[in-house]
Amino acid sequence: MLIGIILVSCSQNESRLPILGRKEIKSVTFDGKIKADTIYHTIRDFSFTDQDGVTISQDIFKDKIYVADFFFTTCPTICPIMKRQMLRVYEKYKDNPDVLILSHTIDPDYDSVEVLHEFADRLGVSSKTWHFVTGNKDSIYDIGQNSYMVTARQDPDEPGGYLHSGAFLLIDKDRRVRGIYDGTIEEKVDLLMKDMDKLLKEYAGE
Amino acid sequence: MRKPLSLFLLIYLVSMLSSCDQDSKSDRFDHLDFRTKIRLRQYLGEGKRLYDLHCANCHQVDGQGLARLYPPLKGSDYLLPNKQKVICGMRYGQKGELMVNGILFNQEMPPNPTITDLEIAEIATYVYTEFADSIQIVTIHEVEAIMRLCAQDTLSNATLKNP
Repeated sequence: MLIGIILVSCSQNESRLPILGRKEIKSVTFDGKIKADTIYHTIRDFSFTDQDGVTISQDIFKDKIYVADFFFTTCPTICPIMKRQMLRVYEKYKDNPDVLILSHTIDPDYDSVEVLHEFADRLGVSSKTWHFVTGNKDSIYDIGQNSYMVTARQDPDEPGGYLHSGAFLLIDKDRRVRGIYDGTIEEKVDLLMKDMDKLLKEYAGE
Repeated sequence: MRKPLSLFLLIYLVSMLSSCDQDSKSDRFDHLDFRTKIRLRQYLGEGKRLYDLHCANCHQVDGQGLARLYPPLKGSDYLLPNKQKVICGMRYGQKGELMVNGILFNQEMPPNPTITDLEIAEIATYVYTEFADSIQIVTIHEVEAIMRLCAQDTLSNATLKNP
């Protein structure tokens, strides 16, 4: 019996992805009783513009899992590697209506809608699945640092002028961060895709 | 002159010992005399390291490029007829449209002003031998000569722009 419970709880731990970020325990009143409730870290509301000039907000990601990253089109360092890896994710999930990709430019001054459009077009991807967004610079840096928990800022000492992480973030349908992967390493992106399948199964089973 | 020669012999002996396995496998260098072969291997080794460091982010480790964003080097029809532009580009960058294998590319290649002539020679040797199927040592003398031409080019362009 005891072994059975341990086995079950282990296999559950294995199949469910962790929920990342700071948790808060809050007391809530439910049915007249005070109970403890866990408030998980979530991605805040946002409003950016994609490569087709369409406003992209959290509403588009309702009932979707998505992968987010930060890049800029003239980046001479890690971005091309990240984009090659993200293309693999795109190719695997482009026809899955439950999956989206969201790439934020951290150089919105240069990366206008037109520049992003040209970039996406040359990469050969469709905005149906993969949104490249630009917008207010402070808002992009803020959502990067505080919601997605990655480094994204201007830094004149860096090649290309920006310091940013090569991370891919896996976000679930409840706007929670479920995984952080190095988008420059093929094996880590393999793991991301495995975790995406797990997450999709998690929702399918509910 | 005697010192570099003995150093060369030492390197030759050591590399003979460690690379006999490679020798038996790669017959595509067999037509070269042994001195050239050793020198080519040194250039290729260093060239690969530098290529991975400076070029592979965009052109990718396997030289395939990325979609219509970054042109491929592997099997590229641009490399052989445009050797001077390729070599100048490694230091001064490239801008504007570029046709490779029938596809028009238009992404700026950033300059790398601190790269040395020797490093360019090693990268060019690697790129031409491994990706353009043209086995050759791009010598430092060749790079020096080409660099004088592209430096003039940039100079005259600058003068033309700001008369």
